[in-house]
Amino acid sequence: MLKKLSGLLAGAALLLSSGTIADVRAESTWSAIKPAIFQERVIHQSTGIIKLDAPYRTIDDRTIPITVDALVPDGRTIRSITLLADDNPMPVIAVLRLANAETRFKLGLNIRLDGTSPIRAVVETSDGALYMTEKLVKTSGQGACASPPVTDLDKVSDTIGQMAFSDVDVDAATSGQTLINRRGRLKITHPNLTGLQMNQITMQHIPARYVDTLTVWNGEQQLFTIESGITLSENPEIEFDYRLNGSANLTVVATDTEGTKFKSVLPVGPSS
Amino acid sequence: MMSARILKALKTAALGQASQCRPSVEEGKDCAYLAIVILVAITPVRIAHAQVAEPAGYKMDGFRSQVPDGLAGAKTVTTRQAWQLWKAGGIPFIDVMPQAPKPKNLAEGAFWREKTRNNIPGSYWLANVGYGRLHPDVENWFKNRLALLTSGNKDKPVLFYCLMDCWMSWNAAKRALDYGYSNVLWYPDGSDGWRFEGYPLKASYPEIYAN
Repeated sequence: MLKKLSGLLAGAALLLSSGTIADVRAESTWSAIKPAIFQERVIHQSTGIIKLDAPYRTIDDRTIPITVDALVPDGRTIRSITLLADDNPMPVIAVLRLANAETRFKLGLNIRLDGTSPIRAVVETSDGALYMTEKLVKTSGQGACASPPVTDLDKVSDTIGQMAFSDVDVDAATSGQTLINRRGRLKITHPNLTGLQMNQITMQHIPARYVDTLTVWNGEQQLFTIESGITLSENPEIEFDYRLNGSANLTVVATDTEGTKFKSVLPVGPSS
Repeated sequence: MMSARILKALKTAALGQASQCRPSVEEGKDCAYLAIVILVAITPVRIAHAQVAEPAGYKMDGFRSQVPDGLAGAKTVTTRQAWQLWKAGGIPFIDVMPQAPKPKNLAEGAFWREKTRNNIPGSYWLANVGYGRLHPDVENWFKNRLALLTSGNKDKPVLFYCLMDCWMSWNAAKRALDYGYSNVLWYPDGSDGWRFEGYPLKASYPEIYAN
């Protein structure tokens, strides 16, 4: 009886301490990957510049919404935003490069995580300084990088590269206001194969095939480019800020690692 | 008043003197509390030991779920026994935790980080040999690795593990039996049980057959 009780107490102690163990490991992962991505550059801890939103614990590891809201209030502008998931095999989620001098930019992505991992957002300002904030996201243990794709791979060519775009701010749209500052959501149909997924029939890994570049124009004006990896979910969704400039359409050009180019012209405005 | 009774019951239980708790009118409540305390204390242990039947073939899915108490034809070892075998040396410890190989067709210059795992020092980490079915090339590789680790003698002992409540080690051990190995050890608590006892673990990279 006493032995069982003590075993139980030890178990409870282990459970309580496991969070700390994960944190220590995560820190060591970051110190290992930081030089490969940012070399010897100094990264400042961001206090006010970046707000990173991600769930504390995921519901579905295959599609986790994360949002980064960057605001540079001192005259500098935002050059790029890098999103990282330390413990994914390909830690760089995406690198966004802004084409225009913006002091504020909000980017939302849906991602997948192989396991519990810190998520980081690194903002590079126009003077080349780097600011970082991070948040630990706990997963539900599905091992999403290897979890089988939902897409029927025999029918990929029917839908691959299809895109849809709509404004996110429903309140503004329904209230009939003509707001200049918009927030849109782009959906891309793509299996975004990680290369880690097993074909359950042949028991071989399905070759990787994922969206690796994306460029968005508002009319003739380029807004940004994104370089992305396998951490973006199957059928990626990207939320971003844009400003009405008189153009009727957004143009999106994406490429994937097969070298396939996908181009869509999508209407903007209140009715979209 | 109540808490004093519970404390008394707990103390009685802790001292191993539960039999002294007599169902008198006065102490009846203490006995009830004691029963609850004992029930609560042993419930997780009971759940962990609920029986899971051995499937006839390999476990095909749901790898992270409760495993059977044993594997017909193999010897199941506890953490204590595994520790003693490890200290004595001479038996290959085979970790079968799955891990996919680095995909060949990533974007040029993409930063890839091979994952490590903290496993039992000196183990041979043969990834992906615990699935329900194996690709023929992976199966051949597994057979060759086993033959090398046992110097071609199928009577030599081999031990398989991964995590607690993981069927991959059960499948891999069953495979070794099917290949004709006669001295197969299955360590179901794996690196979790090892860690629980505070035994050393070491960050390791897997051997992955990539076809």
